[in-house]
Amino acid sequence: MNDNNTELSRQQDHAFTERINFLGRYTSIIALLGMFSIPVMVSIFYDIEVNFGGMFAVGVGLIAMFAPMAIVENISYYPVMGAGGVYLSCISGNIMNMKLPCALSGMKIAGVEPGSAGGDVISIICVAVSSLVTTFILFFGMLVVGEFLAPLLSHPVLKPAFDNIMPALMGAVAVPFFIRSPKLAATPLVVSIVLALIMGPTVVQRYQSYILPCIMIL
Amino acid sequence: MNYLEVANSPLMFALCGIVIAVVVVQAILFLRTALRRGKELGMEPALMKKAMTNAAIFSVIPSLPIIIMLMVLSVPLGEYFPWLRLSVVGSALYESMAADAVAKSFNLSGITDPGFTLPIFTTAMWVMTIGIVWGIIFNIFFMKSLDKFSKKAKESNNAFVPIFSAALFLGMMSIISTPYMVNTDRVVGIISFVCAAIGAMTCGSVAKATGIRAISEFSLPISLLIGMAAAVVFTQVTV
Repeated sequence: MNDNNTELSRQQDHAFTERINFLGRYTSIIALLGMFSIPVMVSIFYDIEVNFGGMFAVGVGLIAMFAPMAIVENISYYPVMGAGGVYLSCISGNIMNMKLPCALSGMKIAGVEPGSAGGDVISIICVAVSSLVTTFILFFGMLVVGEFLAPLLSHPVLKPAFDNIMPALMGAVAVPFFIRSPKLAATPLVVSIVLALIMGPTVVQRYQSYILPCIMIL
Repeated sequence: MNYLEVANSPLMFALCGIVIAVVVVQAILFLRTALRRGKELGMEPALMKKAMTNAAIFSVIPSLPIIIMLMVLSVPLGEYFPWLRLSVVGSALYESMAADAVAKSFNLSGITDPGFTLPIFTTAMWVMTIGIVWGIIFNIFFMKSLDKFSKKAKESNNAFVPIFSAALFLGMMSIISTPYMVNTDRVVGIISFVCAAIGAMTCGSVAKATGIRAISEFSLPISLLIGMAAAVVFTQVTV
């Protein structure tokens, strides 16, 4: 009986992995084609000659900077968010300031660990809902709300609030995890504080994507 | 022709709208698959619903500054392209950097230069697209192998893997958060980090003491607001 159960759950595991990777791969390809169709269509429709040489000259710098960063980031997010969460958040963006904290607090509510089967499910649910909400808000932001919301949000009294979303977010998300498992957290915490003090906080932020995997391995 | 006429044309709206629709459909497909899988794993539907509500409420606050970015970028780039880029992939920082690099390569001073023309705008769209897609391309080619590989590792070595992934996770949290903790040039950031952390801890213990679970469920949006409010108060007091 027990053996049958584990066999069944293994099959379900496998089916889910296949399904998520299938979905992830094909929706990514479609989204990619869609994104490229915009400059292509505009170039064709308005008969614009694109100077590919000049374009690549500019593009190479950006690619050299962003391509390795994107790859390292994806590998770092994977153990926490699972494949489904990474597929989704890579396309919808705003990972560090929205998708990641969102998935983590969802896992806390549901009482599942990052990287577990349940954690993967919650991660997908949270990232998907979060991305739908942002899309919805930006749609209305573009249509109407922006005209009177923008001056309110950039009001000098409220401005520091929105400038400090990141530190506030990290305080709320990270600290409870550190306190929950102080032994495991001590080493990476000390190393990154020392790094930040030696190199200066802004330097660490700039090279974050490269330092991230090193610290994680430590 | 003025490039802004193209940037704000119905064609542009339609193209951007299609891509955003694809992303919405993708999110819904994933959501459906995950909910089904949750049921299969025997997770409580009420808990999954709570995680969804929390995600929806929390996401509102960090979405608001993106609207400002949208306003800012829509002056030089038209309304629709920034709308797409900020809804899908892109981050505010990347978009302005990429567009600026293109403008400079045409010997302009930046994206707000009045010499911005239709060919430059098109090139900017190309470059912005090429620069941002690498994470997606990586996923298309390698995510499946990574997923399979790590699932196999989990099956074979049960005792070690949970500790390993917990350590990975804590390492990630510390490297992301420490720059805010020790940046003495921006004291206001430290204040809001500490206040949000205290807020989160307080939410946890208050929820435990009173037995009102809603407090711990909404602890993230609550403590985010506490941290942001602390930044406002601190700035008001010191200035």
